[in-house]
Amino acid sequence: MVRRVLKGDNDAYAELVNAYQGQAVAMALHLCGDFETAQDLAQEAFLQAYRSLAGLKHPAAFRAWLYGILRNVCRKHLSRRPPPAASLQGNGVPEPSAPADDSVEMRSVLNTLDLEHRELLAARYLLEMDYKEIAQMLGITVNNVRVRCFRAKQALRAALAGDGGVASG
Amino acid sequence: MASCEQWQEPISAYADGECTRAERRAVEAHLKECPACRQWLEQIIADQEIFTRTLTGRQADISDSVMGRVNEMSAQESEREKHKRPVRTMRLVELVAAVAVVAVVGAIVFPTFARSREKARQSNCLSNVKQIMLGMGMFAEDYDGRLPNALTWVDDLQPYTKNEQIFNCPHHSTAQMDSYAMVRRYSGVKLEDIDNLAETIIIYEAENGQPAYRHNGGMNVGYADGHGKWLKQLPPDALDTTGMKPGPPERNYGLTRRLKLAYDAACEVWVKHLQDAVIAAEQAFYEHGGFVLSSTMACAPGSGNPGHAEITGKVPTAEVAGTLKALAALGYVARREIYGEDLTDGYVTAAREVTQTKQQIHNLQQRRKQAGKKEKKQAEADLAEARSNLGPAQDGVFGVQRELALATITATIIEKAPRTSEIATGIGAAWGSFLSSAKKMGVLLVWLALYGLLLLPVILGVVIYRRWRE
Repeated sequence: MVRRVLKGDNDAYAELVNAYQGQAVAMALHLCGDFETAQDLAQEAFLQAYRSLAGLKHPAAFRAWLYGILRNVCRKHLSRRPPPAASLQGNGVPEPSAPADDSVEMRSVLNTLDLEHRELLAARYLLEMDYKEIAQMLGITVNNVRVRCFRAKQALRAALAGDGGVASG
Repeated sequence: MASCEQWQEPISAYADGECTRAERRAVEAHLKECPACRQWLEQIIADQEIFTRTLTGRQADISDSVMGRVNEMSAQESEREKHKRPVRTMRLVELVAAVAVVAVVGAIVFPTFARSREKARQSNCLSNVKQIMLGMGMFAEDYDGRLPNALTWVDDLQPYTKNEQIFNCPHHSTAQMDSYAMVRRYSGVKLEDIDNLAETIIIYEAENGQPAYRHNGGMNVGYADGHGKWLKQLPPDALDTTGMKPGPPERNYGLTRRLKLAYDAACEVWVKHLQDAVIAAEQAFYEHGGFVLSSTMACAPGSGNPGHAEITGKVPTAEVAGTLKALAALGYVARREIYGEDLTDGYVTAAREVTQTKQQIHNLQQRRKQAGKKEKKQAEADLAEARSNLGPAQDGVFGVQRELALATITATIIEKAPRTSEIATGIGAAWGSFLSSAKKMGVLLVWLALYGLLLLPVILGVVIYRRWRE
C-alpha cells in the first residue's frame, strides 16, 4: 500500500487514512484531551506522514511509524499549549457534540494521568499494539514495556478508583 | 493480599496476552485460588473497556480533509516538478565516457610512474657498470695494462669484483650474468693503445649479443677510463666488432716502428631493384671519397636469371667501414668480407730499397768525381744503372703507399628476393614486433581493466540505486 502511495497513487493513501484515522484521532484525543484539537493533530500527523513517506525504511511498519509521528505532533502541541483540557472542562465549556456526560468526565479523569502512562495506554488499548510494537515505537525493551504497562494500568486504576462514581458506573 | 501484589504485574501481562506459556499457567492457577487477584483482573479489563469507550465514543472522519490537503500537496509537488529542472542520473554513455576519461588519464599517468621506476633501475644499472669498469681497471693493472678477453671477461673479472649481482641489470629478468657485453674490438687490448680512454666504450648493455636499450629508451655504457654513462643512442661505430675499422694511426701495439696496415673488402648484396641499387652503390663510393674502378650490370628480365651487377672501387682506408655500411643499407647482405693486411714488411723493404738506391747513386757520384779518365766511363755506366733502379724502387714504395691509402671494395649486387629462411626471419621479426606491441597494448588493457574494476562498485551502485528508485 505504502509503495503504491510512493508511486503517486493518492487513493491508496486515502485507504490508509480510512484504516487508521479512528485510532489516530482516539489517541490524539487521549493525549491532548480535546476532540477538535485531536482531529487537527491527527490530520497534521497524516499530512506529515504523507510528506515524509519516502523516508520510511520499512513500509510494513507504517502503523508504528505513523503513531510515532502522531505522538511527536501531540507532544509538540502540548508543550506549546500547556493549559490542560481539564481546566477548560472545569470552566464548564461544553463540548459541542459530547455523546455522554460520563465520557467527558472520564476524559477529565484520564487527563490526570502522566503523559507517559497515557501514551502507553493509548498504544495498548486504542491501537491494540502488542508489546513488541510498542517497544519498537518507544525504543525500549519488551520487558520494559510490560512493566510500564503494568504501572500505567495501576495509575489508571487509581485514577478511576479516585473517581469512584465513574469507575463503578 | 500482600503476596498478591507480586501477581498483579503478571496478571496485567496476562490480560494483554503477553505472558509466556508457563507464566500463563501459573497465573491461571493462581487466579483460581485467589479471589482478590481475580477481582484485579476484572477491574483492569473493565478499566480498559471504559478507557476505550471513552476515547472512541465519537467517530471522527478526517479522511476527506486529509485527502483534500494531500491532493493539494501532490498537485503543488507536481507543479514544482514541472518547473524544476529534471534530476538527471548518469546515462550509460556518460558513464562510459567517464570511464574512458579516467582510463586515458590513467594511461597518461602510468608511463610517468613507469618512467620514474625505470629511472631508479637505470641508476642501479649505472652503478653496476661503474663497478665493472673498476674491476676492469684492476684487471688491467695485473695484466700489463691489458683488458680482459671479450668472451671470458665476466669470469675474468670475478676475482676483482667478487660480486655476481653487478653483472645483472635490475631491468633484466634473467639472473644469468649476461646483461652487459664487452666490445670485441678491445678484447685483450692494452689500455695505453686506446687513444681516447674517456670516449672509448668498453662495455654496453646487451641482450643476446645485441645492444639493449633498457632504460627509458637508452642504455648504460662503461668507458675505458672507468666512468659510466647513460646514452640515448650508441655511437654508430662503437660496437664495430669486425675489425673493419682500421685502428687509429697511433696504435702500434707497443712496436717502435709504425705499422702499415691495408684493407680490402667485398660484399654481396641482394636487392629488389637492381638499377636503383647500382646507382646508389656508385654514389656510396663517391660519397666516401672513393671512386669506381668498374661497374658492370647485366639484367635479363624474363630469362629466369637474376639480374646482377658488380662494382669495384677504391675508397680511402678510413672509409671502408662507412662504405660497407652504405652498401649494406641497399638490401640484404648475403656476404661480406674484409681482408686486412700487414704491409709493414713490404713497406720497409721498398723504402729500404729506395734509400739504398739513393745511397748507391750518391756513392757512385762521389766515385765519378774521383775517378780518372779511364774509370770514368765505367762509373758513368754504373751511375746510370743505379739511377734507373731508383724509379722502380720508388714505384715499389708508392705501390705500398697506395695499398695503404686506398682499399679496394668489390660489391656484388644481385636482384634477388631473400631466401625463405630470410623471409622467415622477416616474418619472425614482424611477429616479434607484433608481439611487442601486443604486449604494450595488453599492459594498457590490463590497466584499463583495473581502472574499470575500481569504477565497478560505483557503476553497480548507480545501477542499483536507479533500480531501487524505480
